[in-house]
Amino acid sequence: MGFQNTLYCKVLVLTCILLLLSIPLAGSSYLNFLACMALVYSIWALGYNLLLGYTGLLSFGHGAYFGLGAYTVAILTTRYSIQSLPVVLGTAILVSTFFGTIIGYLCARHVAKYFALLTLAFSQLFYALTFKLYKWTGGSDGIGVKPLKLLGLEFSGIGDTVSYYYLVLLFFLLSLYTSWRIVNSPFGKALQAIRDNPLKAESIGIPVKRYKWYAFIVSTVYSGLAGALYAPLFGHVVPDLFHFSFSGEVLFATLLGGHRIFIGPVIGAIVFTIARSYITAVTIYWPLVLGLLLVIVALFFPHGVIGTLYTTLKGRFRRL
Amino acid sequence: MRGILVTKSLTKFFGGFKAVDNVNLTLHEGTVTSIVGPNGAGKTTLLNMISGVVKPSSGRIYFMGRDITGLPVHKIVRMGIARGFQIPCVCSNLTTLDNVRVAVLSRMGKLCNMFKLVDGDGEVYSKATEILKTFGLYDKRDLLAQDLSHGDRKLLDIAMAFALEPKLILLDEPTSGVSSSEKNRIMKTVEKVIREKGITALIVEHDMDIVFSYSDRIIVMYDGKIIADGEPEEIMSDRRIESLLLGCERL
Ligand SMILES: Nc1ncnc2c1ncn2[C@@H]1O[C@H](COP(=O)(O)OP(=O)(O)O)[C@@H](O)[C@H]1O
Ligand SMILES: [Mg+2]
Repeated sequence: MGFQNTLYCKVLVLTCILLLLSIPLAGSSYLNFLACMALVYSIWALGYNLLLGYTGLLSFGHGAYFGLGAYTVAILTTRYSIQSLPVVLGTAILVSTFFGTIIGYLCARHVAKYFALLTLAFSQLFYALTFKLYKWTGGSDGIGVKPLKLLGLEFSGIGDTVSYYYLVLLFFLLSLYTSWRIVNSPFGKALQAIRDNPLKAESIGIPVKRYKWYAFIVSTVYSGLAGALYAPLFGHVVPDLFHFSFSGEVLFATLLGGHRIFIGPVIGAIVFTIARSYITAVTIYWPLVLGLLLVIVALFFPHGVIGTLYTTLKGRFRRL
Repeated sequence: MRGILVTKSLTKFFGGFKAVDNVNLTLHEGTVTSIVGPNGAGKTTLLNMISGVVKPSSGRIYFMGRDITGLPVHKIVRMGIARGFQIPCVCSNLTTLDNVRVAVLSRMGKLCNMFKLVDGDGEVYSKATEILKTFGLYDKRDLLAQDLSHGDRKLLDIAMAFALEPKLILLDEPTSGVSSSEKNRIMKTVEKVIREKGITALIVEHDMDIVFSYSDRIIVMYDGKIIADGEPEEIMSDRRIESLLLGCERL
């Protein structure tokens, strides 16, 4: 708690923001694209971690809300030629949050035991639906995405990567700030109480099921936003977004960085994106490498890579 | 005189085993009642039913005239019944201060706020520190609950129950697993707060000296049934109960 208020921390945050702002100065559109990707995953993981790290709920289905956001953008821009940035992003978030509200209710309120399994089942349901509703979704081919428009400017990862990067960065900083506020709010503390001890939480008057549901809804807002920003970045969306292995990526990124640390999911998302871009360049066995990495993290970095380093270093300093 | 808490023919079966057997109990407002009895007598199960953690097999529970049988735990808490646990029940990865703060926030109906910072709420902070000071935990406010000693976790558990400002408090062996010098400190604090605020209390306790010193009334449970009920002097002079309780103290 003290750390957050120190000058040291403020300087660190400011340096990171300046660093992020200056990425396009390198003039590489591949780097911009990669940075966009990392920030989109960060937004996704920040929301996801409100559930995993702060409420103690493991979801295997958060690809669904990411996918809903992405498909909403694709369908609106290509099928209906609606390209207004606020309208498209707003609708995408609404759609994924709408489904998050219904599915979250079913998962968190009624069947606490099978939470993880149920989230997975619902995401597979969407996966199957994208094939069935091929008139809308384009089936296995997926559909293209047109750029978003605001004030005469066009935003997409295909065109000017610099403007798109700054758009994503803006939403990333917003997500970072809001999720930090939530974590340190009364609601956030209630979630942490539930994570640590559901019986005690209930015994001090917290309606545990209802709060788990709220946490689920909030996390799907972030998933929807991330998915919505992802679609124009690639210019194309495919049903794989609803496949459970895609949901596994956000889980992996979060664990990689450490779900016990606020900034963990962001670090995890960045490391994950960079690692994937290198590994896919040299081998087609990315899923295999991903699996192996997950095993290594689970075995040797129980608190995530950053979390474990942090605890180890803290131990060292104490011994000195 | 109508009781603040009334149970009617309260019974709990675990499978075919009757853990609580037809308990009729009336607690009067502002009184301190102790439950004693050997291990397995059904004391914890009785508290679990009153606090809503365990659903009774049959019978009803009335709190301030309202039927609370089968209500969810958090609703019963909101009505004014708080609970301390036999095995300390705290949020281990939150600090001592935050544990109490969550309870205070819950009491004030401020929990469902996503946009304010907890640290910014001076009213909650001062209420929480007041409780921490009362229970001697103020110096440990920034420690994680998991790093507290067993006795301090027990105190924190109880402090959180008091932070809810209940009308009725249920305490399950508040001094178990605590050194004997600590025992008196805990019970002195508990008794002081209970008497000051006029809280009705139902306390499960093993140490007969402690029970005798603060209770208005003592209930003896055995095999799920209430086998004796009266003022401390009456109960202590009953030879039958004495031998029963001596047996249980050895356990
Ligand atoms: N959840 C449960 N399932 C099965 N049996 C239980 C359960 N809880 C308590 N019991 C049994 O009920 C009896 C009473 O337990 P308890 O209320 O904990 O007694 P006490 O608190 O007086 O020691 C014990 O024999 C115990 O084994
Ligand atoms: Mg017991």
